[in-house]
Amino acid sequence: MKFREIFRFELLYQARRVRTWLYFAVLFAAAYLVTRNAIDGAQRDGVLVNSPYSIALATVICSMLWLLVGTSVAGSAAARDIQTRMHPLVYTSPISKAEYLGGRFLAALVLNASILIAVPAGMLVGLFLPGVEPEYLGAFRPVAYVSTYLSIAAPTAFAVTAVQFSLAALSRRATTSYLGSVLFFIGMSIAAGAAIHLSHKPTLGKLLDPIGYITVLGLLSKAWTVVEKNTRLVGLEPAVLARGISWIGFGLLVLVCTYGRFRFAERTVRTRSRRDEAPA
Amino acid sequence: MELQIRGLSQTYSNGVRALKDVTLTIPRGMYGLLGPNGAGKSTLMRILATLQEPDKGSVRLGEIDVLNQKDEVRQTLGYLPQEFGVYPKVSAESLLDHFALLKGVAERRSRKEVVEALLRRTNLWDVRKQKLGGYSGGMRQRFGVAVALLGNPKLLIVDEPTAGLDPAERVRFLNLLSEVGANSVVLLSTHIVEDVSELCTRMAIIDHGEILLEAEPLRAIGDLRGRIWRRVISNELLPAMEREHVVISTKLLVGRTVVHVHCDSQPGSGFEPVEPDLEDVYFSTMAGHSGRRRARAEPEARS
Repeated sequence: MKFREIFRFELLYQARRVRTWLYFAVLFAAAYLVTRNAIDGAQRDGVLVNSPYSIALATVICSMLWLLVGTSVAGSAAARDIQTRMHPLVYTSPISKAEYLGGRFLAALVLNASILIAVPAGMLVGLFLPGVEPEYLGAFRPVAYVSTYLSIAAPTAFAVTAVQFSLAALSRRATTSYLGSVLFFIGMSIAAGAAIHLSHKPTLGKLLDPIGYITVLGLLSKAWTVVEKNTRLVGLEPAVLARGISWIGFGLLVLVCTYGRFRFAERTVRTRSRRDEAPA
Repeated sequence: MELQIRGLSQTYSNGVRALKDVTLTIPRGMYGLLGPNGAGKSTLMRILATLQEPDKGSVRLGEIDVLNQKDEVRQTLGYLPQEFGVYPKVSAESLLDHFALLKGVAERRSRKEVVEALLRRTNLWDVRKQKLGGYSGGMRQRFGVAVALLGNPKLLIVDEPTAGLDPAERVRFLNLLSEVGANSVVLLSTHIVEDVSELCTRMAIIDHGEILLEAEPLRAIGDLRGRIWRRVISNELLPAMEREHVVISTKLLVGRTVVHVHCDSQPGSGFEPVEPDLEDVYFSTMAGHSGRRRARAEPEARS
């Protein structure tokens, strides 16, 4: 009951903010532009504008953009109580950590996942507005959109939301969460690239790939023929699925740690812990 | 139900000893905790409100171990912190409804009634649809009171609540606390003597983390009867006066100074006896002429 209320309140609070819709609009516009841009590509190499490969490519590009612009949702859900100084009122309410952190996190996750819906939406609008010549357009396959969203965008959303939420909940500041998460995921991308190109461990590199960009663009773009790009479902590729699962697992781990470390407590001057008081 | 505080100590990592072996017994009713800014009041309040861990000591609320059974305390706790904020982009009514749910008022209709009653009692009913970001300091304070009163707390902790209120708001607020005090432990911390003298049946004076006096206000005032003397002097005589007499307070009055002096017998010519009030209790305790500072000072003086 309290979990549902915490979830509902957070969801509505952020859904009423202009900022949330702005993120949606930016991603929608980006997906639209990427799709329109793919028309030129299709003329060059014959990869269809709405091929599973093009959809996956647009998704990872827009996910990177989302990582840079859309990051305040989770940070705000986790740190708003501290930053508005409402936390003494909330923390002294009879709620459990699970209800509080769980409700807030789930709301942030639903919001971020909804914002990322803008990507397939923008792509579809890009396809159906006039200007796309039929010869570059394949059959409409809903499964290509759904599988890409579920196995590329959704795991990214989960892991990124978990990291941003945790950084904000533990540091008590939304800005730390923003900078920390951007640095972390850029760092992981570099690590993934290094694993592939320097250590020649492509399997490890694909698992570390936080956004999916390296796997999709870096590897499949060279390995796949045009026909493969036009037909094979990127979202169901083992490497892509493994990446998704590993990042979901990582996100869960981060959340468990945050649950363990979080306290309903005021942090004023750093207080001595009780352990320090024990006789030596 | 009674709040028992035993041997509470807190030292911060920067070396500040915020509380030194604080022991208090706080019965049902209004209890005033009086002390200057920085005396340790807020530290004590935060510990009692389950937001901070002391280094040493124990706190019991009836059967509940406050330091170790935080969930049980929070079931019946109302806390109005000295400083707090609210979400700016939400109306008072919907945020109070949210808090009511968190406090366990699950059923929709009873929640609506509770929220309406509290908004009326805190005089926010007419502005309930307004966003909290547009509230004045006093309005926000009253909203905090409404949150603290949700769920009929058995322990109500209010930290410096009257600081930002205008006189009418203050009276209204203190009356509200009195009502709650009929059934609950209400602990009111303040640096304003009138807050305590007007309402509290019991009080303590705290300074530098130490309890200097634990008393009933009326009795403490009675104990000072015949010992407080008043004299109006010109300002330049004040240093000499402070050397010769135990000056507990001074007030400027159109270019002259009214001094209150603590003395067991007539201190000299020009002094007139005054009927003591709680302010005299407070200042003579702070100056060390009643309460524990005096009890400690006496053996030293004899030796």
